[in-house]
Amino acid sequence: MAQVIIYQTSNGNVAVCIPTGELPINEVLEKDCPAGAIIVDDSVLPTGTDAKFFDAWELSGSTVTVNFAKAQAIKLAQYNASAVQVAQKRQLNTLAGIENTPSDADFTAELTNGRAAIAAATTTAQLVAIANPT
Amino acid sequence: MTQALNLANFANNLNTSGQTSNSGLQNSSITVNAGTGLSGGGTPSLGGSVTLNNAGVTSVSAGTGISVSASTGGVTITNSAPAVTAGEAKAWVAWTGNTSPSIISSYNVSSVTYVTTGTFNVNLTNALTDSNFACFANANYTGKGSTAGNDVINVTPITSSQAALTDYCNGGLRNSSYYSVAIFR
Repeated sequence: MAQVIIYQTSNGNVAVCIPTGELPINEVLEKDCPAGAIIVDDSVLPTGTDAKFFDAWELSGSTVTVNFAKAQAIKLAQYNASAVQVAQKRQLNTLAGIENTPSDADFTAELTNGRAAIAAATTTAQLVAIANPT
Repeated sequence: MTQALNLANFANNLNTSGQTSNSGLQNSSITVNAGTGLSGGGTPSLGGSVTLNNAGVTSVSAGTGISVSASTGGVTITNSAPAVTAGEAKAWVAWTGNTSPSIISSYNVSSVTYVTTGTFNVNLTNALTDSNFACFANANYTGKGSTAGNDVINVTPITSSQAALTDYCNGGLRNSSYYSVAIFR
């Protein structure tokens, strides 16, 4: 297991400092990281689908956890960003006289269902499984 | 005053041609010392010989980026390699940027800090003179040698020992699979 340095940022997130090996990790801790940063084994970092929500990580002592409410908000933002892109594409199709598939009603329903699924999810695995609009 | 010469002493040291042998001389030899870069020498008798050898530089050949004008006599040695020192990268690093960032290789970089999604700090082992350096970065979304998406990579100096990289795609920050950064000054 590799060692990394973690610390809480001003916005409450967790930053992970990865030493290159050019300097001993203690020197990296002192030189590159703010006060309060700690050296941990990288096995304490979230893995799998939890790792995909880095901006939802929170630090408590030397434990890193995923704030699920933040993870939901991140997923919803990604979902909405994709929805906007698809909607723009559909709007151009309409202006160009090209029929959209699925229909507007089905597309709207798809978005409603997707957002409901995000709201109902209880794990990061469920969030990752929800496909963004395409 | 009259002094008698003992001609017998001369006669004993003359050969049949009337020449004096070395043994009849007070200084019948010379000493030749080998100076710096030479070997040999000795104390030959008069009429004898001694050899001095070059024990220092015996040949000149050109290594990489060097040329020489000759191998004997006056030799001029010229650095024929382009002067690249000023343009050499002062630091570089490559790392994977997906969900578990890890360093691939580096030079003069002590660490890479994963700050937020799509935001990294590159920390230099030895600080540069100031923060007026040039940074170049590359990001591949799916791995080395292939790209996907329209990532906009922005890397800027922060201090003399730190640069910050951001990775935007379609207006949002995201992590690519592979990053490399080079810093010149």
